Amino acid sequence: MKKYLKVWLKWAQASFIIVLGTYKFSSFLFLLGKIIRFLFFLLTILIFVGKAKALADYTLNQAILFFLVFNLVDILSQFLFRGLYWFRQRLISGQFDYALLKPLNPLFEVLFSHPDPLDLITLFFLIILTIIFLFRNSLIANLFSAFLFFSLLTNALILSFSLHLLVAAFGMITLEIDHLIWIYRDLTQMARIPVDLYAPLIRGFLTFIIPITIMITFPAKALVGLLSWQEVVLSFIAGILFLFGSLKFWQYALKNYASVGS
Amino acid sequence: MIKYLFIIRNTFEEYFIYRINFLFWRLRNILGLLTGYFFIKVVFGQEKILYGYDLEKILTYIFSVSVLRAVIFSSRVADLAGVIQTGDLTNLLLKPISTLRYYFSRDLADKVLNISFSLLELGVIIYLLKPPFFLQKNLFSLILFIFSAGLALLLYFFINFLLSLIGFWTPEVWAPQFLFGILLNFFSGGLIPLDVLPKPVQFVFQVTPFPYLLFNPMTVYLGKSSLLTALGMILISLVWIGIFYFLVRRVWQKGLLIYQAEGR
Repeated sequence: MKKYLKVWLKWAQASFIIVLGTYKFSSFLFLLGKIIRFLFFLLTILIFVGKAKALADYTLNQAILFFLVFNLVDILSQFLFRGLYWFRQRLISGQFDYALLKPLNPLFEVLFSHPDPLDLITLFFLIILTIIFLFRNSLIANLFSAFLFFSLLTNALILSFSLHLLVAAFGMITLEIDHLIWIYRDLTQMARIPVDLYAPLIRGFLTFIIPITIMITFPAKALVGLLSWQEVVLSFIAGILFLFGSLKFWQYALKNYASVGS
Repeated sequence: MIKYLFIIRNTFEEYFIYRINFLFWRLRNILGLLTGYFFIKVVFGQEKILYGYDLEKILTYIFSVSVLRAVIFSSRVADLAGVIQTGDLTNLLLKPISTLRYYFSRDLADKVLNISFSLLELGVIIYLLKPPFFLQKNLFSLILFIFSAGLALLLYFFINFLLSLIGFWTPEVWAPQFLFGILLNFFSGGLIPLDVLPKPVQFVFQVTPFPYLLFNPMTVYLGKSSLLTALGMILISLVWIGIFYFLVRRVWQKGLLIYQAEGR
């Protein structure tokens, strides 16, 4: 474990030097773009939901909370699993073979390399904003809700890890990663509003097939005390099933990997 | 002229080489459309009117903007910045073709493909979800809408071409394009109709070229603009196209003077 942490810190250090040292101007613009995109969607919620007074059964503040939790899970996942975005290039150039030779689990390099400091900066401000918003509007139902929220957030990261791993494994077999990961990102964006608002078929798909609901809507609902115990149980079962399923599929893909490019 | 037709044909063929990529790309468009549809449907409910829009008008706006965006914002010009950076521009300069027309031809192929698939996807979504949809029956309004959308297409091409020319001066080309894309989507009315914003903000937006890309053509389609206003918008669009065409020519000439084919 200590070895992995040491390697990850080295990667983080290298990324920070490249992003914040070499490409200062680009980094500033990317950060600005991310913040503006966040504010524009927040403004859209304020304009429409604010005027309509509610989003179905949810108040304006609850609608904003769902959006904040979406961002939290989304940016945390990007920060932790940024390596996947570099994986295709490593695969088609044959560079992935080197990862297999190292005394590290290749899965670790595939997902956890290239942590982006811009994600960390965005995350820092987002967490502060979320905390202020939660306390100002007294949105946390009780202490147990807060505990449940953190447990489900951890579960969400496990699910996110599993989905990223499934994309990586699928990519190893087909070499199609880029669009697949963006489809996953687009699907998560559907949870910028509570998934309960979609048609039953889409809701079912986003809960049981690609568990975006469990990753984003459920933690937010838990925080405001709207989550049933059945949904809590479902969340953790899904977390365990997806984790083991993705690890199995990764092993399968790894066994069938035939080096390309090198 | 015939050489540009070949460029259009080649661009078509490029798309169909990577079929899974193409399929996934279209799937992403559908997901974006569905998210907007459900959000608006819940917010507006059955009979609510917000900011002068009822459910029918706002859904028509959301759906039509998605098609317009797919047509107007689909572009291959953004590649030019990278082409300058890698020195591959030299290949283009040596050929007996105009770089401006070369990219416009590639853009046209992109747009034909986009409009075909977007209309097909929209048709399927409308058939399956049966949302209320406003059909403009006034032929004159339809003609004005198509004409203003055509001008928007030209205007976007020149704005994007100009932005790509920063590749002559800096290697950091992707970040400005990323930021520009986000700002453009909002300022052009891609995210929300601009007339839901406070009046002073609307006024500021209207003095920029951005509303002429999506929002203004849509107000013509929805019948929110009088004939005189619509004609005024078309005239201002023409002025903006003239300004950006002039800027593109000037900056292109200046860029060529300092171009060193780095990377070649």
